[in-house]
Amino acid sequence: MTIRRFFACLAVTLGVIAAFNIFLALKVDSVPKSIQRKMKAMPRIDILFLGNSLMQSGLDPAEFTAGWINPEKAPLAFNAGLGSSSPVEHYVLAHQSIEHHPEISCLIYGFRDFQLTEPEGYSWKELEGNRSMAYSMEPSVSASLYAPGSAWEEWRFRLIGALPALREHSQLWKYVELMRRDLQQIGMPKAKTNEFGRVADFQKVAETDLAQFQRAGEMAIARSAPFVPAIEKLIKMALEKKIRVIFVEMPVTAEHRGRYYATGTWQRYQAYLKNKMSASGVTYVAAGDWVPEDADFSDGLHLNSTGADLFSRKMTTALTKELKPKGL
Amino acid sequence: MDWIKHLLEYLGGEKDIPPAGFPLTLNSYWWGIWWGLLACAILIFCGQSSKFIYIDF
Repeated sequence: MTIRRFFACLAVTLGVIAAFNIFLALKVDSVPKSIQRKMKAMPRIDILFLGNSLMQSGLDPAEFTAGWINPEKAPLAFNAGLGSSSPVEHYVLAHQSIEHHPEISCLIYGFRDFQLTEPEGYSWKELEGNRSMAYSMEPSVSASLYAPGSAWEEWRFRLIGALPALREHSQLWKYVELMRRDLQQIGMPKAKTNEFGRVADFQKVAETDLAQFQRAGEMAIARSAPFVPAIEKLIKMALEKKIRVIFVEMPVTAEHRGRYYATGTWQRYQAYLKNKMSASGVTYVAAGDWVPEDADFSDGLHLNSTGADLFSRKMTTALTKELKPKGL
Repeated sequence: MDWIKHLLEYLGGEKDIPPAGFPLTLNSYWWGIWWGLLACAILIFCGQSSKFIYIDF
């Protein structure tokens, strides 16, 4: 092959890669994009629920509004819970929702364990799945929340966000992973799954080392850990727009409550959070024990539909009093 | 089987002479498309973390 031919072939290669990028930009969909579309299609949103998969699976907006004290004035609720996501993605979804629906009067954020004060990683390997929306939706904002003040990270996020083949890499990996799981299943007993993946995987995620859990809690208290930047910004944005903010400690299994939440560490951390929230002008709702039966969980983390109905109804009861002064 | 082995070696760049009856010579522009497809396949399959748990995206 001559040099001239080589460069001609290279140009054709670049053309194929460009076509692949255009195809991904036009055709690839994702859960965050779907949430964004549903949010924009809502005629009105009064209450916005935010959080990760615990909120996504745990809160049924229809069940929540059905039990409202005055059905004629029942608020319209929207659940923007996003599986396997962090406060940064939640902030971006909240920001977009509030921009599109300035009528939002209450923001309810579900969290678990030390999520509000423990920063999450943002390396290439960590921002996969739904978290890769940090590259595609408001990448500069996401970078500034993951790595405040880092010009390099801002440019890295913006560059990846500009290239569909990079920013949508997780959407491609999803199909590879599904294929890998199908191959693993050949000749094996069928693994139990739910809407998020394999149940056994989430059992493992739920089992944190107790000493590590206590160390994380004690360190947070000892250093008076601030909220992670995304939560700080979320609170600031909401309060500036006179939106009520309520943080909900999401229901956990009896095992989690007995092993982790019964410890002095968690009770001290809980008191620390309550004080901190009170000082910030936001409300703390301890709902860790609202779903007492483990049969209402689909795995070690997520509520099933029965558990979601129960949690949603209890949320209505608890928040009716909280929101009554707002006229909802 | 020998022909397939020869073809794969040719496509992989290990051999410079195509197997008998294979129309693609080294001077063809089709190599650009082949390289592009390989680059896309690498992008799809490489770099996935083994700690992939959630698949709802």
